Amino acid sequence: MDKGIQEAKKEVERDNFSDEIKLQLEEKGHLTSDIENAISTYSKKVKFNKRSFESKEVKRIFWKELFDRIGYGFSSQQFINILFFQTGASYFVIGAINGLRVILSVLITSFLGEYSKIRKISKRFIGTTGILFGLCFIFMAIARLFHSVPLFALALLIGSIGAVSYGDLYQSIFRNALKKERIHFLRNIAQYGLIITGISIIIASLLMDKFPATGTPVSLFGLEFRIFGYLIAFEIAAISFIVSGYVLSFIKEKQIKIIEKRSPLTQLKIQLESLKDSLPVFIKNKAIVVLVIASIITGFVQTLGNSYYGIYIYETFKYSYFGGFMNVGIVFLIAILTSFFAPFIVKQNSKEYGKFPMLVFGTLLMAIMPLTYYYNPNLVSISMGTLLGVIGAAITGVAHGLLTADLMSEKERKVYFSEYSFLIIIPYLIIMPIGAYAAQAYGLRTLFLLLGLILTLIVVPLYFLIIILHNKKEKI
Amino acid sequence: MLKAFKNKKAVSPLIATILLIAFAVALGAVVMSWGMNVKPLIEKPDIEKCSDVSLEVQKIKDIPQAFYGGSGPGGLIKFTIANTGSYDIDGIILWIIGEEDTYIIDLKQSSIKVGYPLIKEIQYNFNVYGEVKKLKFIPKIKIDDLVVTCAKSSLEEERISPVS
Repeated sequence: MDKGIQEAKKEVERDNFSDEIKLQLEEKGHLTSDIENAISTYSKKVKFNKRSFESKEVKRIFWKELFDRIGYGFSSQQFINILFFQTGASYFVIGAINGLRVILSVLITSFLGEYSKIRKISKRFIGTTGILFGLCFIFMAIARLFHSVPLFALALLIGSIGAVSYGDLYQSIFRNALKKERIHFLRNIAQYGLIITGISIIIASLLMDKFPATGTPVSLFGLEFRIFGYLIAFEIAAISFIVSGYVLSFIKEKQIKIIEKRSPLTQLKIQLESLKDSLPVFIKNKAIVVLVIASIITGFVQTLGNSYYGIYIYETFKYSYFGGFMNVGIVFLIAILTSFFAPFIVKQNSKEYGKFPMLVFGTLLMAIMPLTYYYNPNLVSISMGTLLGVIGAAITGVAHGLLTADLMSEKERKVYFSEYSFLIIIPYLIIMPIGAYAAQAYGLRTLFLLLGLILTLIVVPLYFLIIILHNKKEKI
Repeated sequence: MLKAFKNKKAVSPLIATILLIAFAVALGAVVMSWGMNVKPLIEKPDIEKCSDVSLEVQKIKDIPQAFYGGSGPGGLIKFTIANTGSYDIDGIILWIIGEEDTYIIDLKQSSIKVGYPLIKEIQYNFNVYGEVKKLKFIPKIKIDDLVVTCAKSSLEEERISPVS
């Protein structure tokens, strides 16, 4: 009888108990009542242990999310670009480095996404990239202090690698670590995390305005030194990411079965070969080619615009409204809060109007953002323009996803999304420096006009072309 | 009556596109003209902002870094000035007051950020303007998109040494 109980206990602990096992135990001569008693006693214990384990995991993930959100707020991309500009970087350098950063990010995202499917990427590696990501902010602050453009650029590029490895891979741990209902709960936390990021942006703006880059002399315990707002803000960001990386090391992860032993280089080769094979299939379908071109141009406009929006707001309004960094903080706080409810608007409207009209509408909304910066550079309209730009980007993103589902088979779609990053490299390497040069040669306002016109006069017609090609194909 | 509501047809993609384009254009027009009359919250009067502007000729061993050299039409003026105020300078108007006449030049690429210096060398015609008696630097600042000349914050330097 004891043996039966022990066997039942083992199966319950393994979460492996089934009616079949119950029957087997009964066949072995164990009493049904004994088996049921064992099940009820041990399943309660196991459930309790699992629950307490999960609640511990939830707590850890909560703290990790909290520190991440604080970090992201204190190291907002717009603040980084402004400090890069203040370090002495020209518009050209800022645009070119941001372009390079995006290329690196998409490449690493694609590579790690594919690589993590076949090999387990250790949690220690992910935690280390988080710590590296945090340290990059300290280097950026040092670079700003010593006006070293190369150091700042290097820290920015390494930071972007860290950000991708850390952010994307953490998401997979996050999904594996918890049950579905808990993930939903934590997704809510992540959404509320936007509010934490928003508050952090405002505090960072206050700090950087209160203690400007020239340094505020402070006397403490007889010691005289200067305080720099950006140094404090980036220190907070760095500490947050380092702590968050440390918390990550306590989160338990599920073991991923290793399918194949592959070196990163082999993986890269395989991906490039897959691109070689799939490219002719994509090129044959003209609608896909046009879609890729349109999305590359849209991405280019977004990347280039985001490199300069913050700098433009800072430089234009640094002596008016709420003052330097606070103006930037408020505009992008509005953008963050918009991204909170933008998906809801998109879902509602994409059902009502359909993907093609939404694609055109989203692109036009995106175009309003740079055009507002050009035509009416005052903080109120710029805030509204930014708000519309964020909604537009969300609409375009969803409509683009729906369109790819329409144009491609599931297999093609998978290849498209995994190889897209490789497709954009060469065009980005060409057009990003050209855009950055335009910013340097003709000024930011002219660049914004150019970006708005590119979206309205090139991308929108391209979408119309896709509609025509798509309709032709359907008729055939 | 009820049937009419029940037979709700979807909007055709073409009409939906046209409607949305019209909506986007209208939205854009509103946003781009919105707030044109909104006054910045902490904008100071222009004159007050000029009081934040300050220029200084750099000195080494008490020698102002303002020099002249060359002769005749091939003369030159060399100087190092610094922005010691708390407002970025967008440009400089330079007066070179000579014995015969005053040479006024709107210096190109002469913006100076707070705490930064500006080192320049300018061609000067001694035959036309005569020996240099004084240099006068008038800063210009940018307020939003408007350039304001801060004549009252000008800097004068009379100790101009020959280039060694």
